Amino acid sequence: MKYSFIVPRTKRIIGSDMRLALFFFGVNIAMMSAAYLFLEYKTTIFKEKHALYATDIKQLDTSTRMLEEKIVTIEAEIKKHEQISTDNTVMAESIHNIFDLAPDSITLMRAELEEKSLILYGISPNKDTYNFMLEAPLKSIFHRTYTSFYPIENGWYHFVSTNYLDDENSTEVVE
Amino acid sequence: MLERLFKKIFVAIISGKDGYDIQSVVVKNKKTLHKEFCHFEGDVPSAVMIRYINDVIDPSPFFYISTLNVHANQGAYDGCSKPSDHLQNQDTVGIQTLCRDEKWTQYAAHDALYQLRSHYSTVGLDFIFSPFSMIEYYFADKIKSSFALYAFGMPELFSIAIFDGEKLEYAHHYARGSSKSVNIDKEVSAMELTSPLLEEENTEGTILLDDIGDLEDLDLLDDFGEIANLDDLEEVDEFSEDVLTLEEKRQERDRNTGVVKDELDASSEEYERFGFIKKTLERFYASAHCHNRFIETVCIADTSSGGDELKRYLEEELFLNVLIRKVDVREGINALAQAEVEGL
Repeated sequence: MKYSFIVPRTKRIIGSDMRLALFFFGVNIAMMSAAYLFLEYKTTIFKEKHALYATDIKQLDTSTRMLEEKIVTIEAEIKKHEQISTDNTVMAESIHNIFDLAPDSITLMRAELEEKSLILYGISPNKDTYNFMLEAPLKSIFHRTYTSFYPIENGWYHFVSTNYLDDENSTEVVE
Repeated sequence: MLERLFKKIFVAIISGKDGYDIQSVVVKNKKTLHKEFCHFEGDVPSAVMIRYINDVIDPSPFFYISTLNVHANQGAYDGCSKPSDHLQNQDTVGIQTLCRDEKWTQYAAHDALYQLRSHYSTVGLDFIFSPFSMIEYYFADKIKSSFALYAFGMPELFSIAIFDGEKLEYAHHYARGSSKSVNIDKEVSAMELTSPLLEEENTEGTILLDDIGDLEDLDLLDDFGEIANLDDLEEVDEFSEDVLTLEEKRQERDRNTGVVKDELDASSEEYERFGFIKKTLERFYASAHCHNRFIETVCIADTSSGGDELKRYLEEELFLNVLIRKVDVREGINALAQAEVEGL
């Protein structure tokens, strides 16, 4: 204030009407900006979640594949187990049948059971006992039967009976 | 910063006897783009005047409306101390002061400023200037170096200041209390005197022109009634070829009366001013501020067209060197407003 007794009124570049209009424009823009930022934020969150879900899905796919592979392996193992179990059962039954075949007078010392062959080692009081009591049922089971006798000191015989199935499986052999 | 992009509009309003004189100046980056003068009749700002001002200031938000404080209760004193130190016989509570360059102070009454603001409330005021600021503005080149009496004269007021090299030695403001719709006699009786520096003069309260000199010329006013006899001219044969209607005669009579009255007004005003200057010099020489100095030069910024008589009076009767500058007070006000805005 150099010369004047009063100070000038405040000069506003924008009038009151324009200020009001600009205020509403400002509020509008602020609201739109807020909505835009909110949507942008939500989109970002959604994208992050989407990425996480995609990763999860990939991991789950991998897990599923691994599980499927495991299932296949387990199924195969189950089958194998069943096969082995069946084979063992068959084997046990076969062994049981073999020992059932042997009469009391003949002593079996060793048996080598293979898929299509059976080799028996034992002692028989004589060849006839073996031929009638053991060889006959073996011949009914196996296609080919070969027997070798070795006399021992007490007059009994060691025998080695080798039996083969030509093209039938062992279960059939057992039966 | 944004302010530089806008034009600045300065509007100066001066209230006169016959209405309001307005000057508008459009300025951009210190260049004057447009200047316009306008006059409006009336004692109060009319709707037309308000509309005109609003139209003028409409193009820019940076507009400044200014006026001059013409009220009686104002003045100036040396130094920037409290007004109570200088205005012993006045109520200094309602006084607003304005220190100029830490050298001298202008003061004005709060109620006068309030009245001005109320009077122009429809358009609003940004600046109110003192007549002493006008003196300072118009004689800025001389005040710095000369010891002289400086005066600013308008039909409504006459302000006198004595400066000695930027030091205010003496100041006096003469103003009419109410100039509108009063006759000359009333104007004379209502002439108020404000003398801040000389207490004994304040006690007088008012000063009559009788104290200053003869005003016999004013007796001519009594003869105005005789001008009506001019109507009788229609009876004269020489004028019979150019017979005027009654309305034309009335207008002619009014015109003649106006011219005579204006001449009388001007003459009496100049004599009045002569009286003010003479009285002021007497007071100054009688005061303690004089220190045996003698004022040789009188510089007057005058808004009226006359002044020759006053110059003659001062030169012949008081042996002074007289410099009269014809000024447009509206220009001065707008210039001060521009200076004020630049200083903001």
